[in-house]
Amino acid sequence: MVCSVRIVLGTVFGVLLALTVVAWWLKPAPPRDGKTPLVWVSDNNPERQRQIQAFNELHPDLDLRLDYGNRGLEKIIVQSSSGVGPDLADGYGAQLQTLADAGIAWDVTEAARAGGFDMVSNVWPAVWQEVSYQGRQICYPCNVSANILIYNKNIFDQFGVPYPSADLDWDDFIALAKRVTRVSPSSRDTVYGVTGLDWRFFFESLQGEYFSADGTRLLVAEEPMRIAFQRHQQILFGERITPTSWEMRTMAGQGGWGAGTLNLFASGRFAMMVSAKWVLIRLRVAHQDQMRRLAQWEAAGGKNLSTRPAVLRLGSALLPHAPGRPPSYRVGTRSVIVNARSPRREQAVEFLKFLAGPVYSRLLNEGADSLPGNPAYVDLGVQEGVADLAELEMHRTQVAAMQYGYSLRKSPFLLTSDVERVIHTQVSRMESNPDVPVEQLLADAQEELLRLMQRNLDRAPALKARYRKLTGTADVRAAHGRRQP
Amino acid sequence: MNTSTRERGNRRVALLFLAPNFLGFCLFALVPLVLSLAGSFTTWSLRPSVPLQFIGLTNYIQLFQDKNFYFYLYNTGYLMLAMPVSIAGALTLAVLLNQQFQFKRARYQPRLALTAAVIAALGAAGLWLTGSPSLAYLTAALGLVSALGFLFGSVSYRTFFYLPHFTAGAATIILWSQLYNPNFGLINQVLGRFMEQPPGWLTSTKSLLGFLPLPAHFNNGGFGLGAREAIMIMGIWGAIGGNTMLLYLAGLSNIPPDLYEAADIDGASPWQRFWHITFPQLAPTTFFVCIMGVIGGLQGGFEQARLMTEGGPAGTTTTVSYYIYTQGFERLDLGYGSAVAWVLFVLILALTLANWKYGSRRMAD
Repeated sequence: MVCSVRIVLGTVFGVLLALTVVAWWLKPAPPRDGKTPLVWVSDNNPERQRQIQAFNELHPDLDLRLDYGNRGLEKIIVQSSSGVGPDLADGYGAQLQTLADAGIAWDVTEAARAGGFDMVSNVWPAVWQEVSYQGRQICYPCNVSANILIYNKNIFDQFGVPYPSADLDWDDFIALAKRVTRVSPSSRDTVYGVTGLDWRFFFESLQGEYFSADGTRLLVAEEPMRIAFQRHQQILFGERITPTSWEMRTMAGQGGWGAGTLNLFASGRFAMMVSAKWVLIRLRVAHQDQMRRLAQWEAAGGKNLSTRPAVLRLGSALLPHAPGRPPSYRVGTRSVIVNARSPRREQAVEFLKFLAGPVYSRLLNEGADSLPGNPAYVDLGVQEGVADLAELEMHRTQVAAMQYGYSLRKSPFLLTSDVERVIHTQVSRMESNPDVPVEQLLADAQEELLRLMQRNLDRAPALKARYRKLTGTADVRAAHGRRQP
Repeated sequence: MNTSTRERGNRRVALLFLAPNFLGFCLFALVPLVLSLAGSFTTWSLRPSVPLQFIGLTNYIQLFQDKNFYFYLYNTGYLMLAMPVSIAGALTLAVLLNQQFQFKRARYQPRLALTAAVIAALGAAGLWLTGSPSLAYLTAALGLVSALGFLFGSVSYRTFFYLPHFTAGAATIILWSQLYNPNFGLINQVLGRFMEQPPGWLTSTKSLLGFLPLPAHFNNGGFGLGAREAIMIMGIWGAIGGNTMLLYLAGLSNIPPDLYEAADIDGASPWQRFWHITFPQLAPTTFFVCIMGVIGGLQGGFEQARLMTEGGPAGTTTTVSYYIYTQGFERLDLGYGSAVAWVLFVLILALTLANWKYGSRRMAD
């Protein structure tokens, strides 16, 4: 008995020892030839390897590597706070402010001036708010995009409806979307008019803001948001031209950000999509797949036209504008921050410089991603692309949309991610119960956000003093002219 | 070597063996626990602009004034209503799987297995050809299970029912979210044949207690099946064939057979045998399962909220554990998050003590 126990324990010990050796063997190799290693947390887009290779060729003393397994914002914050974070990390929208607020995003204002990638001269003006926090540059964009309208010509032809034009207002657009919507009892035959159209679109069309210019006042219960919510309710429950966000979430079946929606769009489930040029990366794959299936059908002597596989044909236009107002679109970016706690942050800045340069911009344009962060290289390396997908037209529409672009203000007193989370909850509440009045939803959102803002002030004396200086009071509710509930 | 020297030596070896575990416990459990308790009385934050300050009970006071906390506590409690069903299901399954399926003539077993496989294969092929691939898969799977059941008896069923526990939780959750798709999911495709308006599942704020006059911020969508029920059904599915079933199987094997023999002599019916012998004999297992269920239930709902629903729709699947995460790592407010965690701990402790006090008394009876 004792002997068999020894054998079992000895075997377990041996296996663990062997696994340790395997783990040691799998450990990432140390940098070659005394190079400085840099870790970039980004997605596993096939284009990343080309971009990394180009950077490493330009910087023989650096060894940039991709880490796509640690992409979550929380992971980046916790790892960086513990001293094991990456040197460079991607951030989107509100995440950039969170990273700056957590002390992770390094203030690169001076480095950008010295390195020739400062935002004033080298970034689209529409995204200055996005790439800076409290007047300081915190990142450089990997790509920049204003949303545009992308439509499936096949569906418009099938319904006998003319393609969307560039000067539609909301009402024209909704009428158009209704003409290409077919909600069928059999869900597989359902075609929605548009995807990606929600309260944000209406809010941004009205150039809405979450905060006042000095960041002290919340504007989520003001006119632009109220109209945006009402319109959102109308398109979901009145017009039924788009599925709810929860329906979309469950419709999206495959991995990758937005990949499920894009697959559904490619398979003809939506006539139009509010998105940006980057969707081409996915739609090119879908188009190739459809061409292959068509070739197989033809090779099999296909005669029954009802079984002929459809091949995507795209067009693009500027998004509709609010009636009687000029167009206005929010511009988004995927930007890279330098980790302030990285011991190699000086070297990491070189990557931001690379993002602002011609080599990266050319790679980006060739890869059909969104636009480069540096407007000077907007057309560098742009190709004709796949004719069916109208790639060049989409690029031009995207560039045209940039002149109407803007990014949302941030407040030092409340994270934009908090605002978006609370609004998202109220939108979800509206979608699941259309009887709740919009005014009630917005009042509840405002109340919740005021509470969070007050909590932030109560925890940071410097922030509280600043708020008091700007408003004359440290009581958030008083500053908003409200009583304690 | 005298006895005391040997004992001392053995003690040293024992301590040496215990040391890694104890050090690990101190480093990864005890120290963080103490830190989080201390942190809950401070402004502990991941934001450098917030200095670390002692603020006494402020976090706790704000928490008790936070109406969302009560909503998330309600959600947590509501999801725990699935626990009795899970336990009853696991017990029933364990009792069924404890039966010995024996054929009088062993040579019939392969024939029966082959027959089941052939019938299922023909049925699946027919369904496939008539354009019902989902039902074809289902029929094929049932055929496979029946065939293996005929061949290997209850062992194969025990394995099948325990299979979900071998599957990664995240994969199971993603699979279920596809099944719950209100438009294209398998569940609503089947229900759609019998109901005009199948449930919205993960998209709906309805609940079976939706008829109650709950406060407005509980986002009550009325009576029906919604996201919470979807999560509960998934939980019941996972729990019925899981560890609880194994515990009950172990418990059943410990019941002395002479009790059943005596009952048989007295002419007891199967139900009487279960109610007067099996169930009381399993009381310690049930007690243990209940305690673990309450602890797990109060801590639960995180994976589902994170992967399936992001706490929605309208916060109806946000549980206390997910709230701790959002406060700590999305709002970067670790002090407040710690306060929520400690309130949860006190709740769990109180319920466990109550369970212990009243449960053990009933068990003794």
